[in-house]
Amino acid sequence: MISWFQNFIISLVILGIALILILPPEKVQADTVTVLIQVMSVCGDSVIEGDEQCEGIDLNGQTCQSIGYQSGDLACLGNCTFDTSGCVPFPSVTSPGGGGSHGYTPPLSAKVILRGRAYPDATLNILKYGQVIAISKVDSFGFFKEEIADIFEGTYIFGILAEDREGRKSVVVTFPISVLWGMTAVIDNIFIPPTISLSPIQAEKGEEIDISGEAFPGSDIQLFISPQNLIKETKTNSQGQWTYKLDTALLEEESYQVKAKAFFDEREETSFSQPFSFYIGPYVPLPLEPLPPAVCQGADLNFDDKVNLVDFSILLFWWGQEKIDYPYIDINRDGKIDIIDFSIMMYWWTG
Amino acid sequence: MIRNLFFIILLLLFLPLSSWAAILYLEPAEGQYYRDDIFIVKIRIDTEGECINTIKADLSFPQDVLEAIDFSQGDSILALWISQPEIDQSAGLISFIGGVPGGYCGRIPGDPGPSDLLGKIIFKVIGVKENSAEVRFLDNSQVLLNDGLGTEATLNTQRAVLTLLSGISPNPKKEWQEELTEDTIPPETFEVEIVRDPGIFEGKYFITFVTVDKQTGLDYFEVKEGEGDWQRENSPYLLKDQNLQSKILIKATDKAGNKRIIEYTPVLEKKLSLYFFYLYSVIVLALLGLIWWFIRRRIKRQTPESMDTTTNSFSIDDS
Repeated sequence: MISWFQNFIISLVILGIALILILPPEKVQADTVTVLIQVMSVCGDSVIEGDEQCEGIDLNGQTCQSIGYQSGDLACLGNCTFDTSGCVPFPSVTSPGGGGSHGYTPPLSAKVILRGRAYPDATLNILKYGQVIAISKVDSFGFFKEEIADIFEGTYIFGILAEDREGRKSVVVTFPISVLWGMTAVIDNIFIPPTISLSPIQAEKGEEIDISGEAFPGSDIQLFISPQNLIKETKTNSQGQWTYKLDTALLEEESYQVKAKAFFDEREETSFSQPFSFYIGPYVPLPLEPLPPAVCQGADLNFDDKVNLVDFSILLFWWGQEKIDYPYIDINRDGKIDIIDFSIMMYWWTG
Repeated sequence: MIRNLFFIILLLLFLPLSSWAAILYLEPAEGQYYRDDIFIVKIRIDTEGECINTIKADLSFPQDVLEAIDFSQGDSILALWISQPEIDQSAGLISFIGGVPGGYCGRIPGDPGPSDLLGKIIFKVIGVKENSAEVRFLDNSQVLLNDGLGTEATLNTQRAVLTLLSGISPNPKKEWQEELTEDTIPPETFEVEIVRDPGIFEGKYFITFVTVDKQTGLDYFEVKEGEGDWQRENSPYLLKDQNLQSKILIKATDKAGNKRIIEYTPVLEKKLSLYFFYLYSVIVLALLGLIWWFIRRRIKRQTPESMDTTTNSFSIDDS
């Protein structure tokens, strides 16, 4: 007689074999593998590598003055970072604020602080040279502050992309800044452009089109409708949400494009949101199998809802080739792959 | 008076043309050099308030008196180069196409630097047959607006006129060597992504990577798969080992020879995934076994006849 335990063991083995056969190891691996990064540097080997600032008596050519102090003697700590205890700092300096200006607080370490307004509880993607380096949350009032530390001296272009609670994305706004050793640069008063969506994208004359999005609470929203250069206005609610019902009765039957801008306190304004297209006219059935979502206007070449290095790699792969076997690569569908396609990709970049 | 009026009218006529136009310019715009001097000419942009995202630059230089010995991308605002800088010494041409993801709208007030550098050309004076050498942008250079349509911006360009002096300099210029000597910082750390997409390499696994070097600029990448040799490669790189069983090393080297190595071990990832897969299988099977045991036990309890056929162990449990 087979006991219950023997039954259990036999079942376990059979089911295990069955599962292993059904799910071969190759299918466990996802198409996109998480990256594991290792900087190969060893502190104490007398060679300055990776992110080490110094090694023993080798200060990498730096002095107290070169890293932003007034005077003094620089030394190296056991963890290969500078010992600035012997350095004499400058007196504190504060620069005036205002739209997109910088304030400097010498001289602890090279870092950049991004401060400004977006939409309540939005998700922010912080980009450095187009690559996402941090993801953070906007507070419930719509304010954010993001600190980027430990950066080398040089010119950087930081970018911010905001995603609102509905999953709508803003355009990327960028900020070039030249960073010096020991500097803390504050890029202040950043005002993220509104998000925008509309429905339906095809309406018969007289039908209403709902245009909505999010912006900083209390902002005034202006909608710019081309080619007729119409300007419509609305306002955000306390949660930063805004809507506008566009009456199409007065519009001609043709294709339009709408984009939004937010204004605050009559002095500050954002750049434009992404443009969205809609059509007024007799109902035309959409293709049964439409092209992948036109959210990124074709720059999202692998249809993963992001425009990043993978899409750039695909464009780069086909760049300059005479025979093109991939139909989506011609982003603006003009029959050639050129710098216009590249420029469109740069515009729709999400990182 | 009439002459002044004429100039004012002329100025007003040309003012609309000169505004809202990006300017590509060279720095220094002029200079004096001797034979064998090595100097740097910086390519810069003034967007004049426009937001741009793509720059195609074609430059010419007199190849009989100047040798373009290198091009540095160090500290450039261009992050992605769809066409890497190329020097054609025999034709006296330099060209590149680069882009700024999200666009570039010019210097922000308060920025301590110009933040407008596109690249640096390193020239060596190889002859002084002529008194001057002109480095200029060709007419097919283009700057595209960050408007989602690739609209071409109105473009103005400014040349550099360099005076070439005969004789030997008492202090030959070695600007590039000085930059190379000072650069002890490796390229910035970077991420590697392994992807496969039907769009390229017939759907096979490839890796993407990009980085910048803020000092002398990135020189080249090398890739090493498993026990293979280092090979100079570019992104995107088609993996030789499509089973992802090999450790991948990517080395970025700057112009001064500083290196940054990024390591990725897909085998480890795979083994971990397999480990969790088997662990998960065992847990699921154990739960299934327990459920089966409980059901059997319940059925036996609800069927009195079955007690007659139970083993001694059941009788002991029941007591």
